[in-house]
Amino acid sequence: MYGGDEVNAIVIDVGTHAVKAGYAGEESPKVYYPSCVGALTRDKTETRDTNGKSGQNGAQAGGRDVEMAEAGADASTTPKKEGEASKAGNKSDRDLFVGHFALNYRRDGMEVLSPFEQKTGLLNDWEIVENIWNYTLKDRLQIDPKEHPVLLAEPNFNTNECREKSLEILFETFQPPAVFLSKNACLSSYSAGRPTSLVIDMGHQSSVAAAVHDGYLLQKSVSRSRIGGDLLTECMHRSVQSKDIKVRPRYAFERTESKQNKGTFDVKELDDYKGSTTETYHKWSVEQILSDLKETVCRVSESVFNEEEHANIPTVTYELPDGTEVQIGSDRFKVPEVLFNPGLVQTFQDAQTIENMGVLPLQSMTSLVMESITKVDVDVRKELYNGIILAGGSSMLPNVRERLEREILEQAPGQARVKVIASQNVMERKFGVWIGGSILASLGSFQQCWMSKQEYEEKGASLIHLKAP
Amino acid sequence: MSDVKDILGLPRQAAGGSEEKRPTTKAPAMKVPKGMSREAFALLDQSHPIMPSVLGQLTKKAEKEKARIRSQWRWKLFKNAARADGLELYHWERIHGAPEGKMGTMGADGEYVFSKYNKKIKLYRYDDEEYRTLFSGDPSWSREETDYLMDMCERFDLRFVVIADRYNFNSGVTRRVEDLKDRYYSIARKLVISREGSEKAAAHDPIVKNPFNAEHERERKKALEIVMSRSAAQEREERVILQQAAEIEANRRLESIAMQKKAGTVKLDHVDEGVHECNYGLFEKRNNPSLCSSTGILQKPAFPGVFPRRKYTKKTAAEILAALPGGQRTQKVFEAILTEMGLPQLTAATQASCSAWIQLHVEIAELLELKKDELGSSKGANSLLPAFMEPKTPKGGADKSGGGKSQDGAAETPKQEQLVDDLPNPSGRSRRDINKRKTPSRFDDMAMMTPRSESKRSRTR
Repeated sequence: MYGGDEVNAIVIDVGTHAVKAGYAGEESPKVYYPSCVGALTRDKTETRDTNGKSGQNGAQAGGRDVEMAEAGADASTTPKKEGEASKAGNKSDRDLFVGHFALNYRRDGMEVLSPFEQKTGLLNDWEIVENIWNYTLKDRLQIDPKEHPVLLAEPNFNTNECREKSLEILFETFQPPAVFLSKNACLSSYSAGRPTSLVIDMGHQSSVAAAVHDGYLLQKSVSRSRIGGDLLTECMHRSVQSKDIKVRPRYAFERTESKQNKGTFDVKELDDYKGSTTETYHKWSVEQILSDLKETVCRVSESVFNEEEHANIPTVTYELPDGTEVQIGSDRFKVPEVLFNPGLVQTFQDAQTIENMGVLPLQSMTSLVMESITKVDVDVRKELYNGIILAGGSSMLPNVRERLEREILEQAPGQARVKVIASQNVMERKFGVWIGGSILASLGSFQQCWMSKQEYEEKGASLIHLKAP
Repeated sequence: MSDVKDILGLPRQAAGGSEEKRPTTKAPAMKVPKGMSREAFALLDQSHPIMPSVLGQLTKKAEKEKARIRSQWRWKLFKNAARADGLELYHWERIHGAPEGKMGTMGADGEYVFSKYNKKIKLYRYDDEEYRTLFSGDPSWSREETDYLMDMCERFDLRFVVIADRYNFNSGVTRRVEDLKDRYYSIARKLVISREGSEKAAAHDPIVKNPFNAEHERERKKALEIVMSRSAAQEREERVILQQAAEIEANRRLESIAMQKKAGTVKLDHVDEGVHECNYGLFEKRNNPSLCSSTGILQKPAFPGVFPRRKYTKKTAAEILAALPGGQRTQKVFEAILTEMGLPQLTAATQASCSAWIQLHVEIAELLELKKDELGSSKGANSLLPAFMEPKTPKGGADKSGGGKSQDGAAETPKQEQLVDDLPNPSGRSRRDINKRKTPSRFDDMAMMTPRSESKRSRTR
């Protein structure tokens, strides 16, 4: 690759929905798993025996659940995870379960926690963060961090304290030879190949619009909105509830083939879990199902969504894990329309609870972009209009690109040529930030930018603000 | 769940659970007939196992070729000259087997090829002495702040947009891009001049040649901001409004013509030959209007702008035509008169000929008006065509192109004669002769021509 020089750097992007990690220079991340972790408060008087017993219980319970193909593997991993957690130096009184397997297995009293703080959107729970990095580097990638420089992607509005803290943990615990921190928007911009652009990242917990000029993020142009993937999933939930369908999480039922008619299944609800399963775990499991429903079924309408027009749309059938079939009609278009018209949230059941989900305002994508552009110096605006880059999971919905372009054309000045860029390969939008990091860390001319361990030891963590502005 | 079933090809609803027989049975295998070669049989056989078409490329020659091309790589430590801390990273390096012309990452003398891309911008830095003498004058910029600015410039390589964004000096005044640029460029300029000695000596430097004009930048940005803050929808509305305004303006002008006509004699400016003589541009005609409006008066156009004379004159003439009451027909009559006079188009677009042409238009329009009135009063609304348009035998083959035709006694109304006789005839033809037609009228009621045959007619003239 011309201009490239692979030093086997690792790129890690911890997002609000998922963690993406892999080698720099590759097309897509090797490691991809939810960034929420399960936390089980450990009773201090518990001994090793009880741990073993709970492991056994797990094996029994696992056998019943139809989904658990990996029940056997899981039962064996559970004690390992607990052991790992304690080995990683958990000074606290809880065990953390990281990754798909660990999280999908239901445990009594296990809470689902996110390392991000809802209010600020920044990394908050550093113990979880350390566990995540540990799991990524040692368990999934199976490398020795001492041999690989690490590039971390950070939120656009990351504070100086947060950056220094990340650096501290990385260098102290994992001791890589070099580290670099880069803003999400800059990386998305590199992945599209443009030094100047306006990046709109439709993430899980929030959407962020930010301008990048000549490879540097313009901090004053960052605008955030509460509308993200999780809000859309919640709207979908309401829509399903309004049809009087209850979504059962995977651990709460059992399907057996009836003996009378072969081929039909009986669903039996399992009540023993009700008491011991935490609210957050229940919510998380239900969210997984609804999120899949949303991703399969939803599309963005080409023009402004009109309730009457879309009332005649043929319905689509979706089968929930317990066999219930859901018919989705105009809600297919109504739910993603919230991206462009947040007022629609009112039309769903129990709208108040949705609105109270966070602190940030509910702003439409178009107004986010316009706000971000107006905060920038006048001379740069034309170039920004010409390169609006879509990133993030929610941008994978069909027709988002065309619709956003159309909406912005309406509001933009007549002289500016508006162009919204989104990669054709839809998966690339989800990994846009990671891919940008992969490109950056494998460039020959980037190798002089790393902050090495020696520099960290000599000058301290605050050097990162100079090295990685 | 449903997609899994789709992938596996299972039916959505349970299909009664019955097993289906495998429809395809394997075709019975054929045996090689005696005497047939293996290759020939392969052609007959139904099954086609995947096999390489060319076996045995591993001849000795091929092996040698391969060994030559094969490249070897090793994982090697390298140092980056652009780094100050001596960080040593590893990368893959080719040992041998590199194809011609391809660049490796280690250059000729073991230098890391990408080190040379660590370029820095040339920054103008002052020392304490220079600061004291040259720059302490500006009250809004303290020494610390100026130092901070210079540091930022160095960090961001003079990317002022980014500098303005990250500028955070003790949470003080917010500086805009122009302010920062102003300060930096004025410093740089003074430094260059003082180092060279005088302004003249430093004149070759682009910083000295083109001083940064902050005021101009601010104005420009303000204007750009206004333009940029209007959305496409608003611009469309504006354009519609402007169009309507233009239409209203045009209507007003036509109304003023009509009013002037009704008010009595049309004010035709006496076309003074003297003034309109061609002076070869020897005296300046500033502030003297040189365009003729549709009322026949030399006046300045309604709004300022650049008006090419020919275009403007044509436009005015079209306005006059459009204002004719009676529509298409009278317009055609008008055009016919012009062509008869030999002036269907404007030839040279000088001030004199243009204003004369317009005034001719005005006169013809007025003539038609009078004719119509006369018709209306005496003959009733029989036909809207002026009297001279009735199919009459033309009086003599008068030549139209020349001037100086004496006024024949054509039967004109006294009213017309009065009005018209006073004025000099710029085209050199008498007014009466205008009415003479060589060929029968094209606007015969009986023979309503199609446009095509009309043009044919005009050609036969």
